[in-house]
Amino acid sequence: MTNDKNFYGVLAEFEDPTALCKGAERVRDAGYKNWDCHSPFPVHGLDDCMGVKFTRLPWIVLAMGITGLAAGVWLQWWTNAVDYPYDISGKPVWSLPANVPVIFEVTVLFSAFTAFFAMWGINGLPRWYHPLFRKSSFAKATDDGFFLAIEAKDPNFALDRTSDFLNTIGAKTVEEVREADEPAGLPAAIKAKLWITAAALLVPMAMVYSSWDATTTQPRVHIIKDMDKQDRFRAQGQTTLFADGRMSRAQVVGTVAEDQWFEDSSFVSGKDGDNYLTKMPAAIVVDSDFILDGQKNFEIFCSPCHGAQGAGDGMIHQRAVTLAAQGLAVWVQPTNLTIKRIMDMEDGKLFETISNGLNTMPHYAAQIPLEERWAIIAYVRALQQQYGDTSLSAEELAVMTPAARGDLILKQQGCTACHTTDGTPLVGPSYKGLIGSEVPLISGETVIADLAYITESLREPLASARVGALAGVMLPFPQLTDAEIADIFAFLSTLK
Amino acid sequence: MSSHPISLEGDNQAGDLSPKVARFGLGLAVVGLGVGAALGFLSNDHDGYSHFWFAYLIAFCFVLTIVLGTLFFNIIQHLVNAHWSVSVRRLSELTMANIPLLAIFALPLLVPLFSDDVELWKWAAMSAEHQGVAEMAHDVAQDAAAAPHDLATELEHVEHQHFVSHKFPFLNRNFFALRVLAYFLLWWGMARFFFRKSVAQDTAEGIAPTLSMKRVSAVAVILFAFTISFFAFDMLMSLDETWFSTIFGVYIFAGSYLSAVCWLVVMAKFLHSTGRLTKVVSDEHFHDLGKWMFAFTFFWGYIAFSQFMLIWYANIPEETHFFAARLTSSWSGWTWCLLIFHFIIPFGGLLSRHVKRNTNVLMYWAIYMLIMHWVDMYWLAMPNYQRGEVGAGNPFGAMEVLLAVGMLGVLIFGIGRKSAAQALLPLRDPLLGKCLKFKNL
Repeated sequence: MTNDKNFYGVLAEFEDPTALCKGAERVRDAGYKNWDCHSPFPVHGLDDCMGVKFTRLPWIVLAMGITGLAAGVWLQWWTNAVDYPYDISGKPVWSLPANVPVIFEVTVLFSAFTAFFAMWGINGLPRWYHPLFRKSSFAKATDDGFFLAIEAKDPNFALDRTSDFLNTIGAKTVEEVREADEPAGLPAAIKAKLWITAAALLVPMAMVYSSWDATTTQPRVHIIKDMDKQDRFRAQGQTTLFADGRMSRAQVVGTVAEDQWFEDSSFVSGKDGDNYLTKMPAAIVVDSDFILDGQKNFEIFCSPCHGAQGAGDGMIHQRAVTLAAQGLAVWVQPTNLTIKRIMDMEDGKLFETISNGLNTMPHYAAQIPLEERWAIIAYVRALQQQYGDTSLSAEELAVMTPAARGDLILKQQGCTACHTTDGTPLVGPSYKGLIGSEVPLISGETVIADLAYITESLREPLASARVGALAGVMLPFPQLTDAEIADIFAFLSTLK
Repeated sequence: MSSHPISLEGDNQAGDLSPKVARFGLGLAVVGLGVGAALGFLSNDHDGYSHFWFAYLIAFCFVLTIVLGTLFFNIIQHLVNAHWSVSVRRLSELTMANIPLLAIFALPLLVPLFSDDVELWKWAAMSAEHQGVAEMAHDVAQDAAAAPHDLATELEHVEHQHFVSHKFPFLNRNFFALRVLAYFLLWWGMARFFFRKSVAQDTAEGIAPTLSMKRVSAVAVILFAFTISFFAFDMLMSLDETWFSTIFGVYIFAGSYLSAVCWLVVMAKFLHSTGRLTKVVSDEHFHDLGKWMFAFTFFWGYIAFSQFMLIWYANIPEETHFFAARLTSSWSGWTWCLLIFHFIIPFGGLLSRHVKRNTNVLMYWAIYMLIMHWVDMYWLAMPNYQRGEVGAGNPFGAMEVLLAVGMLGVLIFGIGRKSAAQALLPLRDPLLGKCLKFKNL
């Protein structure tokens, strides 16, 4: 030990790797602790000569590798099974085989980064300066010099004794190493460059910050033209290629998939003659397994639009509403499956809708086997029992005003998904101020919105379509009676 | 060649060990194959002894893949100019030199190939009886008129036949036999070349034999990649004539090289125990062989999972039935066993550096992985026996074990015979000096 705090220690140079190894063995046996060897290349066996213990790096890498494994599992479980369950390729939201590649990558990433950075950390890197650099002879450590340095802070260190000791164990030269009395500052030129670099690094961050929540009318820049830029028909799009204007094609009439042929044709079509089946086909036994099968398929195929509880508020709807609010999309809300209109709908009509699609809903005959379509209907019925509209009795309805009944009917039929009562336009025009106004029709005429117009647009919406209406989006409502339409008219008349 | 200042201490000649090993191997082969065959032919299963032929094919592929792995080991060491492996290279040469011997044991497989009774490669009989769809439909109609209740089965047969029929230009008896013959000729040619050149180097004055091996290794590695892939497609993948997986050749290669490295560890350790090569093959060389074992344990798992995941994710019926059969029946136990014991446990077991440097522990893992390699071959082939039949189990018993042990005996016999004529290491290999001084950091 020495009291001179600027005194670093002694530096000895050896002839060759063999001499260095032999010297290191002696230093090791003499009980020194704060010392190190420096050679231009890794010298085999030097670790043993110095008595360096085997590195603990592998254990750190193993621990972080296991951490990465757990992080990979957690990341995918939390994001896709808990926080934002979303169906991808019809796979379960939590399925290990699909997750293994990412788990593997994250494990490798954690292990590799740990190996690299922990090695730096254990070696005390990065280190820009070392007191030994003050000795010009030390430059040979990167060329042909083999050095051994003992630090003054070693408990065994005593300048004369240590220097003599190094001489006796074969050192070519022994030098004393001192720190500078005043540490040299960073050169002004480097300092200026660092400041400029730091300031320049702020520019990209400032740009990101300034456009953080800015809006733009330009489409996003697509550097890699992914699948969203293909020449293809979109499921909901329009085209002039086909007579019905739809890009989405229904199956050829009478198509029966392999293994999907049944004696009972109503099982395949949902119809008995020209009438829709009002209950499940005879071949089907509705039990809890059947309904659970329906639930599984409902959640895969239906819930993205109709919502997990059938309320018409699925993930796609929620996304589309935000896009529609920005004027980036035209969106018809998926039907709420628990309103009275759907509760009253025949099983066969529901089946036909699933099979062939309706309005903006595509057909699912190609994706969902027959029994599973019926199972979905069973599950929809279960949802309706749980969350469905509770009908009022005839007596209760009779004492209501016509306008109140009209309001109720509009909700039960799901009209309010597209039409508001407060003047805000959705896909359809708002009801506010409709009655008595002039409506320009596609046919070129202009009509006054009266009971006759309301009746026609409910019974045959295509015939009385307004200018600007999306053809075919408005459904016909043949099930409404004249009395019910009168009630609706009474309610609409109150919305001035 | 300049002489190295290194003395090759210890006993580096097989000497009187060769006949002992050969006798031992011969004994194993006679007992294993003999009793195994007897058990096979005593069991009367009314399907041309198909069970025996499956077990025989598994045993044959088990040993042949080890031998092919050592051939690849040789090629790759020359190709990359490796010096660490010189001290164990002769062991791999002694193993790969047995390709002609194993070719003899491929001959019995002509029986299931050309017999109409055996259901090993089911396409063999199908391709022979193949006729146009129209004729088949005609036959079915006639049969149906005679025995209407069989119509569904008949139609299924026609459908299956039609489904596979486009493969018959490739999968037919004669072309198959010709291809397998070609593979063995190519392997034999490569093995013979590398073995002879390496032995010639032992007494050569220059390094000409080594240089010519390096030149040929570049071509050999390509030939090897093609032949082992197509061998895998032919021998094992075609057991299920409707299934296909383009990664299957790589899968077989992974298991092949893994088991070959394990085999080298066993050989080197055995020679150590008889006092041979003790100064030549050091902990450093075992450490490197251990690294290969670890790397290829992982590579095997990586390839096995790659094959599984793509098929699982795409979920196309003509591909998934391979895994459906192995995951949803009584075979699922074997599948999980493979995942856990062929991948997860040895991965943990071989991870540490200390395991790879402890030759006794490494020897344990080498034998363990060789057994798991057999399980892998069994898992690939045996589910095709009585495929799809109700009540078909997982036939595993003394016959399977005896045939595998017997086939291993053939290999040991061959190695014993080959080991007498030359030293147990490439004496004058130009890289031997570097090899003996080699140390892992």
